[in-house]
Amino acid sequence: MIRVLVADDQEMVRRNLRRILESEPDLRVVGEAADGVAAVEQARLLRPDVVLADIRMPRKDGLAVARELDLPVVVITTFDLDEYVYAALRNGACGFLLKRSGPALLVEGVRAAAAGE
Amino acid sequence: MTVVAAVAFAVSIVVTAVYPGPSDNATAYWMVAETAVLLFLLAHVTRRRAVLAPLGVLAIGVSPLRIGLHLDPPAPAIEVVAVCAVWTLLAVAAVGVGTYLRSLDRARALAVDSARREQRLHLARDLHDWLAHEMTGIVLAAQAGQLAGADPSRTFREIEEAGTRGLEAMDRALRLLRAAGERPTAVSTLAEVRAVVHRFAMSAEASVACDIDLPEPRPENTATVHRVVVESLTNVRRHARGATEVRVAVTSAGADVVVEVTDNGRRAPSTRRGGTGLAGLTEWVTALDGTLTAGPARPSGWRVRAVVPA
Repeated sequence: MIRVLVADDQEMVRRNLRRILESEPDLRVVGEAADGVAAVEQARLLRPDVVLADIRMPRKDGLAVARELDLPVVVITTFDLDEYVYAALRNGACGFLLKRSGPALLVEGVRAAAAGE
Repeated sequence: MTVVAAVAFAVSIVVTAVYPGPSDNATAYWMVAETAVLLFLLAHVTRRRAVLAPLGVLAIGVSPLRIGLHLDPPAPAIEVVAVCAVWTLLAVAAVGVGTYLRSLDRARALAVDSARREQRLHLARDLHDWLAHEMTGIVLAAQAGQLAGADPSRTFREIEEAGTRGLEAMDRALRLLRAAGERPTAVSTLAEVRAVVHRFAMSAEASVACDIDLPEPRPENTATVHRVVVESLTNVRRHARGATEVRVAVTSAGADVVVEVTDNGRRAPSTRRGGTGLAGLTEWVTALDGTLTAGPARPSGWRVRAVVPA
């Protein structure tokens, strides 16, 4: 079982990411956070296997979250911009996904991150 | 005003040229009064355009000749020239004042222009972000909705809500763009502001009080009042749930114009994207050296208050 923490400031996005991830038998969303500070707190408390974090969030962005946590962090974003990918990888994110990339890619991205790829 | 000044300068020169005397006290009083008026006119027209400045300086500079040429016994030439030089200096100073005021006017116009441009860029960025977020929400909801065991009616409701929010964002953006692109004189009267409140009252469930009682401000200020009222009422419509009373008050406080829009509704918990219209408005009012504050009203509701200097 892969335990996932979802961090995004849009409630609608969190809810649907949870639905997509939990439709897989081996994934479970153990927590949600609406901003970066809450994401770091929850991640330290829950010790999920993977953190899925929006690159743009109030209080602390996904890059800072990736930098601070020693967990696998997959940075997700609304915008398809190259500089985001480089920034995410430079900041210690282990993966980068577009939110719209579809259930199959999202699920694979999370599994790959959990497997340490 | 330019024509008045041109005529005044020309008449003054002609009078100086043909004045036959005598040079008594009455002539001196008249000349001092005339000089004061001409100096004022000169500063005023220079503020608009500099073309009349040489004529004005000439008119004022030679006017002491009316007295100097008709004294009995005759004044030494050097004294007459000295007095004319002093008068010329006064005239040059008036030109300086007018030029300085013109540079202030231009700086102000540039500041307003750049605030407007800045606002448009800001708006484009915000629009991109709002829409991208809502569209992403829609795409994700649709993707999740296709998974086995999804509840279609919930999915459709979510998509509908996100789509509506996206459209509202676009409406708001368009309104702001129009407002930012308009010349400030596009809304020139308080009657048009009253009409906005009236239209809002027609379509609102709340009872709407409109208290607009002041002398007509300058058109640019009326345009700002208009924007504050439109944006505030839009926010009331969007965010003030269950408001039963809305009050729009435009009053004058000294030389300032004060706009207050108050409602007694409940606010939805604010979101990150909630107040961008207000932020743009604050920028706008601040660019005109005014202030805009928005916050909870007592005992309940919300108040937007803008002070626009005359």
